[in-house]
Amino acid sequence: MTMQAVLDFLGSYSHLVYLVAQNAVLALSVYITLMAGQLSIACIGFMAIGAYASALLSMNAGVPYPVSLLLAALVSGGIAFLIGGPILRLKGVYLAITTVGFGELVRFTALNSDYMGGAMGLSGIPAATETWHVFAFLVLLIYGFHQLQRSRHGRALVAIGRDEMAARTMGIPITRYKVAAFVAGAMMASVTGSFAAHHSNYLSPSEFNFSAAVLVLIYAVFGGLRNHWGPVLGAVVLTMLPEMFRFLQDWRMIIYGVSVLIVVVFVPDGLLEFRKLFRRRKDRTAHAAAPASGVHKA
Amino acid sequence: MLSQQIINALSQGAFYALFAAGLTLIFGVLDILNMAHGAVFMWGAMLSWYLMSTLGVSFGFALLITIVFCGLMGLLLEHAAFRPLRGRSSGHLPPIVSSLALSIVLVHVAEKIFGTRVVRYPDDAVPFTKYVDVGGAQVSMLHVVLMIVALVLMGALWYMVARTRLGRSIRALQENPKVARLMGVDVDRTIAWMFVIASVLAGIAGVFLGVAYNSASPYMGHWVDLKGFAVIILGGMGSIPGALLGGLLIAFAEIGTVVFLSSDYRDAAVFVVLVGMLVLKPSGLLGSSREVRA
Repeated sequence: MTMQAVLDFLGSYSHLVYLVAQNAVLALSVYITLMAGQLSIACIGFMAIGAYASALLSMNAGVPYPVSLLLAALVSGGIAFLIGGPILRLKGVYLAITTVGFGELVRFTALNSDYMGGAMGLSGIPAATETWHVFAFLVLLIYGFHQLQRSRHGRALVAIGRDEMAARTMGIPITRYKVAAFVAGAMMASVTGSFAAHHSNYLSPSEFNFSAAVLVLIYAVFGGLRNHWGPVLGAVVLTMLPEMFRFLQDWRMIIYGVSVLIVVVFVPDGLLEFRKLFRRRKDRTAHAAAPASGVHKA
Repeated sequence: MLSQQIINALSQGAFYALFAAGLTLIFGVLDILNMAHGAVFMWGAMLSWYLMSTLGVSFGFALLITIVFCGLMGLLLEHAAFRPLRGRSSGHLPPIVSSLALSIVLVHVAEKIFGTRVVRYPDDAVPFTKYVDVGGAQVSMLHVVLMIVALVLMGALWYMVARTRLGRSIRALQENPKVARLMGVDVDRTIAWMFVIASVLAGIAGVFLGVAYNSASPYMGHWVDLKGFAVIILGGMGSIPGALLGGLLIAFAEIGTVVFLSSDYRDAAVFVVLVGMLVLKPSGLLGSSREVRA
């Protein structure tokens, strides 16, 4: 009985379920660079590269689906490696805007290249992606982040994110870590792109625009950046929210925006830290009593 | 033909500069990227269209109402998206996201009120529709007016920052917010004024761009946001003359691409220039290198 209900739910909301997983992976791809303190929103650009590369490989070269996915991820990783060095010298919003520029350049390339279908996009991509593929990938990533967070490399990334100078002084090769995080994020986004291409069988450059990139950043920050569960939570909630607000009809996106605004304003550290709302007063008195103890707890 | 393109580039560049002036003012002083700037710009264009077409208001009066309205919108922006986050130790991401959320709200409220279509301004309401002859080129008076308005407003903004009491507060705030407060600067009030001024400039840019190109839609803010970011990075964050220079540079890069390559690459040109600039001189043409590198 309940099994049937679950299957019915999955049947009518299968695309939503798929999107939840896809957006969670994208949010994680932004999160890994944020861990190292780098605000990069190149994810949609790399998603586009992954989508187009695997679609073209399987359509024109007859490459099997898993191989095309892997090759596309390698292409994205390679590009990220090449541009990572110069781009990651930039800081803060300079980096953010440059990565937006990168995403736009990828989109213009797809838009103006006949080989990539131009403005019409690519259609007739062989269908191969099942929803569970994305979920399996998400679970794999969550496990990976879980391991990373407790490892030396994870601590190095967080150290760079907290204070680059201090991390460098401690002997952490910061450029290498930053580029590695950028490459990892690029490959994660690329795989979601390949999944998407083989899921909807159709690609259009307009899917990979600036607003899409910005939404992914909202997922991550909305959920919280303390650990990898925050971006996943943010993506899940914010992907489902417009669907749950469907009954509001054309008020839906207005209420969506207002909800995001309220959460960010009241819990700027993300939904995951909602307990802080209630704990704040206690924290403050504790800080006043023992100013040195609260630093690493935050 | 070429002189016509040059005039086009000049007026386009002046427009970019006018839009970016508010962005650069806020970023230069507060280190905050206001992602809702384009939404205010869009409201300027759409509201003036609504006033002129549906309510039959004259251009001058519509402009006046739009200015007041966008100023109030700036206040709303500051109170809803930025003030609650001020002084919290959550980094520079939450203000970006809160202003993005507010811009989603503003765009969809506009959709609800004005519809989703691209709209055209009524012919009889638009002033300066004559064409003038400049060096053999037929130039729309509107573009010339747009250019003049932008230059005058940029000049006024520069004067305000450099010479007035409010400007002194703003510069003190930029130097050091804590000391500014100790010296008697009302920080909240000064910041609120900055948002009002920035939003009024964005609104005026919206009115004039809408009228000059005779089109407006609830989604027109997005591409302008991107151009605005490019302009302030090129010119140097926080520099008003830099915004003018950056705006002109981008407009000339765009028009140059259209003339010598193809209009398909028009938008890509901006980012090629931008990335080149960032690799060569990350602090921008007229920016200080204060906080670009660690």
